[in-house]
Amino acid sequence: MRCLLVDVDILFKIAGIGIVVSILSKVLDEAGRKEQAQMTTLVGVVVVLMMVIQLVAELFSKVKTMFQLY
Amino acid sequence: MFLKLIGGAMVILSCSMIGFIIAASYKQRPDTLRNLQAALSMMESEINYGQTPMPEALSRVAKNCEGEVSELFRKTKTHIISHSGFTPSEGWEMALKDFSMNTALKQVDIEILSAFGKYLGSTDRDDQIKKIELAIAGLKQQETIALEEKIKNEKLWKYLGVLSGIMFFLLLY
Repeated sequence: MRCLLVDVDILFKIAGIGIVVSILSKVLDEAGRKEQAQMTTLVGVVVVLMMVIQLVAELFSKVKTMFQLY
Repeated sequence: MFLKLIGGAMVILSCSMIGFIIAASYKQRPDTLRNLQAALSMMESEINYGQTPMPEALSRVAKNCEGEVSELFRKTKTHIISHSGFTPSEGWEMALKDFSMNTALKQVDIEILSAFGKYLGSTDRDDQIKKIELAIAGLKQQETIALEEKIKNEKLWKYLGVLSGIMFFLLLY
């Protein structure tokens, strides 16, 4: 019985990427390569942002059709 | 569903292995440098105290070493005693080329060995000893640097391999 209309897979993906990026950033920081640690954090944020933007676009289109706005 | 899991496992495994292989090369460099130093100092004793001729000295050293260092000395000896008229220096150079293909040593180390090889067998005994000691000193310096690099990099690459595998798996799932 699914109560959520949202695709749960994407949530797991985002959570997984978040965990992996934080571990990677910590490991690179420990090894002394601070710039690369910050770079991977940035890349992770960008990737997650792209995923989230897709969902937000879907949300907007659904809202438009729901209220039959232009 | 199952196929996805198997594919994902393969992605994670292969990325981890790439990371492990890179980490292993960082681990191997100090060891190879140490073996080379031992082999060169063995050669020094053979030349200095044993007065053994070059091919026999090379094969004795090769017998007491293991792995690629032993191969290097054995190949040099083979080139020298073959009837193609190679000088010891040329024989060393050719064996060094094969050696440098499959080794974890960097260009700096190969250059030290190559510079040493130019004088191999062409000068008198004391000069040979000096050249050997010079090479050993150079290798020891590189070994210190290599140990530092190893401590920094080995764990890092292992983690990087595994984590990037997991990342690719998550992205492509």
